Amino acid sequence: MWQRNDGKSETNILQNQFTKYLMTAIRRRKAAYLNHRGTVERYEFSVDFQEMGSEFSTDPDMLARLPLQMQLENAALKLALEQMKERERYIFLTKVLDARSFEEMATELGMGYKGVAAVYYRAIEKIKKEMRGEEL
Amino acid sequence: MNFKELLLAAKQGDSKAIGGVLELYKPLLMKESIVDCVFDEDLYQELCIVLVRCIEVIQI
Repeated sequence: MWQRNDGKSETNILQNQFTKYLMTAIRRRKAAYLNHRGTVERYEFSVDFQEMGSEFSTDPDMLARLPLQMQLENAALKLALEQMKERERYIFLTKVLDARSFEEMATELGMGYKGVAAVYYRAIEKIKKEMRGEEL
Repeated sequence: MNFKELLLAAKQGDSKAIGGVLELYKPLLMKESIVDCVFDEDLYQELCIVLVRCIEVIQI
C-alpha cells in the first residue's frame, strides 16, 4: 500500500501540504513544551535523597552532635526539647526523625512496647503544652 | 481510500479516519518525540493532540 509521494497528483500535493502544516505545528508545540520543561527544571528542587549524601541522614548518635537543636527555628520547640529527659528526647527524635518503630526501640532500650509508646506520647504532650504556652 | 478522502473524512469527525491519519503520521510523531535520545511520552501525547487539532483546522 505504501508508495512514494511524487508530489504530482492532487492527493499527493494535499498530503505534502498537510505534512508541512503539521510539521510547523509540531515544531512550535515542541519548542513550547521544551521551553516549559526547561523552566520547570530550573525552579524545581531535586528531591533525590541519595544524592544528598550522609549530610542529611539521621544516625543514632545524632543527639551527641547537638547542632540539630541549634538549627531548630522554633524557640518553644527547642525549649521543650531541652527540658525533656534524655530518654524522652531520644525516643521522640528517634521515632520522628528516624521513623523507627516502637518495637525496635523497646528491644534496644530494654523497655516494653507500651513503655516506649507511653514515653513517646508523653513527650508529644509536653511539646504541645510548651508550644501552646508560648503562643498564649 | 486516498489521502484526500481520508483527511476529509477525518475533518468530518470520523474517528476511524482520524485514527487512520494518526496511524499514518505515527512514525513522524514518534521521531519528533525523542528528546536527548529519550522517548518523551508526554511530548508524544502533546504532538498527537497537535495532529488532531491540525486535522480540524487545516483548510482544503
